Amino acid sequence: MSAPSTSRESAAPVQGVIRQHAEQAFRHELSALRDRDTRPKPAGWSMSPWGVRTYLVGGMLDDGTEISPKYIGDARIIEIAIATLATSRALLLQGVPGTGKSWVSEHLSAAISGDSTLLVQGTAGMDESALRYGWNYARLLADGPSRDAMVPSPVMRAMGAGKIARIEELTRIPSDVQDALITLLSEKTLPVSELGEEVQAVPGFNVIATANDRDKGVSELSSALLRRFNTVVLPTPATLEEEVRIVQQRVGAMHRAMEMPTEAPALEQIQRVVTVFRELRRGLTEDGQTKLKQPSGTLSTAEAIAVVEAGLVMSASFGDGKLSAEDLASALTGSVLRDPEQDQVPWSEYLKSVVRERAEWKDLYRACKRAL
Amino acid sequence: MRALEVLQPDAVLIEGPPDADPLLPLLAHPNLRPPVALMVYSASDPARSCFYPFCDWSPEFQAIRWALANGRPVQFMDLPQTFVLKAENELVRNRPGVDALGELARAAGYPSGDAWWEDQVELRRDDTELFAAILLAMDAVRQEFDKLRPEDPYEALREAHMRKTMRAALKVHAHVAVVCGAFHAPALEQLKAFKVGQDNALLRGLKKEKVACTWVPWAASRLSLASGYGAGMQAPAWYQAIWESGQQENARIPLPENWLGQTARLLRAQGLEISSAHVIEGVRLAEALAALRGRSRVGLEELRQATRTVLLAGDGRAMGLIRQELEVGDALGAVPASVPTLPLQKDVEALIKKSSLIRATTPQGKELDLRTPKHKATSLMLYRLQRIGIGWGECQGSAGMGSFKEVWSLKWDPGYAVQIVASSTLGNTLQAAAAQALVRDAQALEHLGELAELVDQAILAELPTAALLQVLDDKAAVAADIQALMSALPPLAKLLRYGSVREAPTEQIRPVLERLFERVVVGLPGACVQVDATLAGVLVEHLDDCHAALVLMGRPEMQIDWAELLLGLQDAEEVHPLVRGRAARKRLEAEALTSTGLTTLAKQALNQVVEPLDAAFWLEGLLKGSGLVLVHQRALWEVLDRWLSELHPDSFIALLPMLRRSFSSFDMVTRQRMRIQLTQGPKEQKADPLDTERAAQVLSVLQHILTGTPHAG
Repeated sequence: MSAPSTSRESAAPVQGVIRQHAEQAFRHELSALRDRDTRPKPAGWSMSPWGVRTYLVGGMLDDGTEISPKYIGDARIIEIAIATLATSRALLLQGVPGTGKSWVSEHLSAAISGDSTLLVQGTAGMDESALRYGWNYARLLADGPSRDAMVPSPVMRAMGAGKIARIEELTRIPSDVQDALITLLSEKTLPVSELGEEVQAVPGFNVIATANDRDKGVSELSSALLRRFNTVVLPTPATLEEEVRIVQQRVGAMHRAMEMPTEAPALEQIQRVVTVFRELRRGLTEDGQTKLKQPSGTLSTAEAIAVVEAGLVMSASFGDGKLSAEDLASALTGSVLRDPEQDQVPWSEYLKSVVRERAEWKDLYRACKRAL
Repeated sequence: MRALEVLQPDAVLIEGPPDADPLLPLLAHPNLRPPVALMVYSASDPARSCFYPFCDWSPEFQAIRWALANGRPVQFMDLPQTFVLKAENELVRNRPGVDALGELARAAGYPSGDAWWEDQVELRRDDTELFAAILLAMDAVRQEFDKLRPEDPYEALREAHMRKTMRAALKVHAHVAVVCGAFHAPALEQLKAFKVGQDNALLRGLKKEKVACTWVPWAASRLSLASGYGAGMQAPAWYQAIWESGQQENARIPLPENWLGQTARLLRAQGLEISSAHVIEGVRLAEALAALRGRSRVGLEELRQATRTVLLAGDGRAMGLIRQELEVGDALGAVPASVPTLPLQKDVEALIKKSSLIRATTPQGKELDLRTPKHKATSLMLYRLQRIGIGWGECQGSAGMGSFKEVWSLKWDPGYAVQIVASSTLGNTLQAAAAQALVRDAQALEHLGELAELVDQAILAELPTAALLQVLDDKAAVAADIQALMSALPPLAKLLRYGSVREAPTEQIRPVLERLFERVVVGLPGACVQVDATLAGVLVEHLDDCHAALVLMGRPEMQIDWAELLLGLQDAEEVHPLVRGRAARKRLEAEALTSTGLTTLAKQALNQVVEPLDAAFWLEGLLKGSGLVLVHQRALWEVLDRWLSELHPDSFIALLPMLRRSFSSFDMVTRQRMRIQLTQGPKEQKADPLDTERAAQVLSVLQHILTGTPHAG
């Protein structure tokens, strides 16, 4: 199947943007997968579930095209997500911040629909029109209610085109607005009462929502809405190696995108950052010997990535282009000390009792001491 | 089963101990209900034993039943336990661990051997070429393993004996079916490749031991533990369900629907809202997952994931319950009355009969008067049963150690029958088994306080405590944790002081207690240095308990040591102020600290040089529990008053919660008296120095009011 024809050529490469959409950045992998895919496709999908799986967890095609892994971790979680979408159930990705919910959602949409841009960002202030449709008031006043005067939401456009709509931060959306999704998900239609019409979803339409289970003060999903989703919880990376791979891959991509004159980040530095994050997150050293006080922040993988990125920028702008403990220290301190008062103690203790004791970490200890 | 129908063998050989051949016909008994286990034990020492569990779906069980129903000879073929039990130490211990199936599964991309086997074998309907395929696979695995691992003499012996049995059977019968673990198949299939003489030579000269066998009821929860031979089965009820659905060829309800339906019922019973729509979507997800993974049927892993994703909305907390209730299940086996019973079973049976207690599964109450021999024996039996993990009775309380009355709550669980069997490895009589269990538990316990409680339990069950006390003594010697030492002191002291209706062995306890006490005296001062408030709080609690225990025992030589310890704690600068305050309080109670002494201490602890927080800790230590001392010690009251009034306002606000905590622990009467003392106390008004500027303002207003003349300025 060729790239799906849409009003916008979303899969065309775009130069000069900060960040490319998944379907642009991995254009070659996607088209190779589509070309080699011989297995049955669910209606409206651009490739088979097996193809989607390979795209997400990586692998080698029989023509030698290498597919890079997008999700590093338990492949079974991705399988559950794909199987959910293949049975036309809506998918809810849950997890603490930085576990890659949006990342997985974007790549699933890119692989299944060839389009990851039908996106609704959930906020506390949004109203129903963001999920249903709004009106172009000039047209509405001039011509009265008509299809032409409607401003469709990304969800409505996804229904018409048979694609996947992404809803980010579902639990930030006020409960009464969330309710608009219930009929939409069970009946797969969107009634337009003003016109006495409805929009019926074309095969291929589905919803991937993400929600953060750590935030406080969010709108809990009603059981009626929750029942319409299959919920997949994305865990924090299980092993040190896994997490180091994630950070390395993401930082490497960013490194290329920014065209920075630095050397590729040293694996050793990434390992140290990830180790610090993992140990503080678990409240236990990797060797299981020392109990630690836990800081208040989530210390997610995404934050570890940000620390390494910040370190790279530091070393490119002010250092010798080689990522050193000095470059990392201030970003690391800043990201651990989310609450300057409360987190001071765990961090100082950690520095004194763990970082200082590790012979090959002396430079990091000194740098962090100075940053405090 | 289908394979047996097709093959129609003349005889069936089963991987199992030939010692139990005479017991095989019992498996066809109508009153035998799986799961059951074959227990083989040493006739002289049943504690050395071995269990072979059988359940409905185990191929061995089905093959035996088939053979018995069709009148074909059936016998076990493994290395007899008569040799194995004898040579246990050299053979079975320190064997190289091999997980052949696990290796194969990992090679095929499955997470575990269980999952691979389930998918490839258990769930399969078409099995004509299955056995040949397994053989091929195992052959390959074993070739790999034989390269990697050192020679395993035990496995070699077993397989030699199996081959020997097969040769003997083949002499009599034309077709012989062998039911064995897949791992052994390659070593048995090509019988001719192995030399008869070599096998016989291997088996020659093995030492024997007299063994006895019996069938015992087993429980699903025990199937899931590794025991006897083979690994534990992770989800017995799931395999049972597969087996049953395979039995009814066109089952009305397919397995996934049935399984998730049961899951939904279980979760609803827990108060979770699970609708039929959940089950429908769960089945769809499980099937889609199986398809995505290229599995021909939905397996347990898919069902687990569907349960979590759809039914539980991603929340994994209920998965443990599902595993316990649904995957393991509560299936309980039964054996006919005609099977030989174990010595421990006989003993317990006789004791229960003598006690005339009824094994009811609903809770019953029972009051025992320990002065009558029958009730005493019943109480002993209940306490001893507790020791081997049978919580049939729970003592609701006796009015102290000296009481003759015990109130018990009784509730029998059918699983206890299995527990008794499992405990028969501990001893032949209840007394012996309980004593053995006691030593085992003592060795496993790390915490000294718990060990001391165990001593109490042992005395209640009238079991020998010497070994237990030895363990306690040994552990106390190496214990670095002062809290643990201190927690063991009060229970032992109580035993020593009150003794018991059951004759506490005071002569054994006393020396252990004395040594324990010495360690506390030596270790405590050091343990109170450089501790945070939480730990100091814990230490103070232990200090209170130990103090009470010492007062209780009333032994002068210990009292002297203790008094010295308290004095040291009270005066040592480096000790945490909470502990110092507490030590002073204890000395005051023991009248070792005079009123003047207390005032001096208070002046040292409560003044502006001392960190306000430390001062507050000291005060808390002194006052916690009762503030009467404040009412009676006039001088202390004044020191406190002065300290408080001189405290910097910021410090006062910071300390207020702590002070309130100290004072709120006092009872009403004390607080009342304090209030009275406050209001009626000597009113030495320490007036603030006059603020002339403000006074002037007031004066001018007064002048205006009094004289009616407006003031100037």
